[in-house]
Amino acid sequence: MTERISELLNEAVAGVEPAHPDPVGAVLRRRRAARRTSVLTAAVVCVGLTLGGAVAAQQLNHGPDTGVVPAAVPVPYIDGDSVVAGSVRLPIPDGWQVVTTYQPCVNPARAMVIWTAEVDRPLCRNAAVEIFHNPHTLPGGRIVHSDSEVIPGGIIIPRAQITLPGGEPGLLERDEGDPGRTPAGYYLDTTLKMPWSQSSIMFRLHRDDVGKMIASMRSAPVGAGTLALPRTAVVADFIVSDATGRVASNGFGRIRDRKAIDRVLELLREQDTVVPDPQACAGSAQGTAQLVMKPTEGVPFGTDPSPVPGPSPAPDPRDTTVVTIALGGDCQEAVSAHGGRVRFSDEALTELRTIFGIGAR
Amino acid sequence: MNNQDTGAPDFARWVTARYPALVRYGTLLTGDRGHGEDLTQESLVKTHRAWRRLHPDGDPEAYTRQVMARAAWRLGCRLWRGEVPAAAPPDRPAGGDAYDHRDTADAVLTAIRALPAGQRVVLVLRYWAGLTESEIATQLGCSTGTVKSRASRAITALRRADGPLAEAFAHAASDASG
Repeated sequence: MTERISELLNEAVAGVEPAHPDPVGAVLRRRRAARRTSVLTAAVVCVGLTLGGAVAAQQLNHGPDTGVVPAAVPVPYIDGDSVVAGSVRLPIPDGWQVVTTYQPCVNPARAMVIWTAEVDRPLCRNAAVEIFHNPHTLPGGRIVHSDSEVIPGGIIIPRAQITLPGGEPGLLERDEGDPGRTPAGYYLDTTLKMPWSQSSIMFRLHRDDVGKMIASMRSAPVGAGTLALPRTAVVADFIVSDATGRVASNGFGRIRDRKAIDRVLELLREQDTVVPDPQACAGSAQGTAQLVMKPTEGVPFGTDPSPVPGPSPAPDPRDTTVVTIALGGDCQEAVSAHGGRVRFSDEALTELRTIFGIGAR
Repeated sequence: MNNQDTGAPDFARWVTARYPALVRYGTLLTGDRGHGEDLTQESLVKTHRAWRRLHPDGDPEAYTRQVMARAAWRLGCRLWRGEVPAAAPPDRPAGGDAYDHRDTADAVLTAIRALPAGQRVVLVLRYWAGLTESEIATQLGCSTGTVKSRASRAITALRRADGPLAEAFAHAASDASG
């Protein structure tokens, strides 16, 4: 029933287009009209307005500088000739069909499925592209070092941090080598997670075609600023992988010590050189370091309460905070899944490695 | 129109890019495209006012959506009750079966427009924006109990056997059982 209501609401506005041809002009005219009213009011209550203005000015000067992502992003939807997932637009290739969970498709190899409901599988099975609304911050992926005593249960290989056209950060699964086909004739899947847009896209395509499709995407990110971080955490994991996705046996660590965690958060907050969208440059040729901070332990995946600071609207209050760092070269930058992207210094990276004991074992 | 007046070219670019999506959101919050666009523009005035602290280091979209939701929650029943703007006058008098020849989209908008503003806003935040009850309560500044009761009443109203969406829900039920 919940899914049906969501579908009906989506359907109700799918065809809605603004009537106003110049929205910017309309907004500014309203603003000027509001200003005129304010001036008239000021003549009557100038003393009160002066005091109020002083307060307002103080608030403006004290503007937040932390990057934030929207508190909630709608389920992906079709808008003209694109699928919109948060701040990202994925053009629909000519001749392709876009369906939702309960709709069949003619040719799965040229179909996109928008998951509008939680089901085991959509009616259009093995579609070349599947698009998900995904508010959780943990990107998921392949598990290695499952016999580790440092992080029992193993670690998930950090994905490559990439930059989508327009500046939106994406986390792309590393290439596992030859992109062979499954017995059914489909390519193995590759998933792109877009934390700021709370969405992910699974491609069942040859790697070259995945690259082309990602290159065709457009984005208008809304998470710029310094890193959105939790106030504190009870456990933090740090995992470092090279550009091939290899994680050395001494390439990861876990800490629970409160002072150490506080120092990690302090280090992250000290990184205050914000990367504007046009200057973002992280790519899949770089290694990745991933910092996962959880507010509690021993609760099922995706249900932990969030330690995200109050002023930052969290994508989901149960989410863990994940900070991903693209390593090396002139483009060492860190992205928080809750918003914010900054340049990351070599000194801070070295200290993180020391705190987590990486390279020491 | 100088840069100071526009609040910087960034504001214009951002509005141009996000305006259609915001109008859709406003349409759901008000149940009407005209009111939705009006709500969007009014909210964007506030965004323009706050632009210096929202860009480039903030989140203008989240700010605007919150302004829209709160405005619809507070003002919807007071200013827009009973008034439905249209691009053109109707070509025939109202009467007969109001839902003849309407597609599902029209039926849904008609149904949610008939809801009290509070129920409509909670419905949209819960089932379209995907917020939890506590998140909605925080955003609207009300209790979780209020959110629950408004959502429950909205669903009950939409599922009414003699309502415009009865057929749509019947299809959903038969699809699920089939």
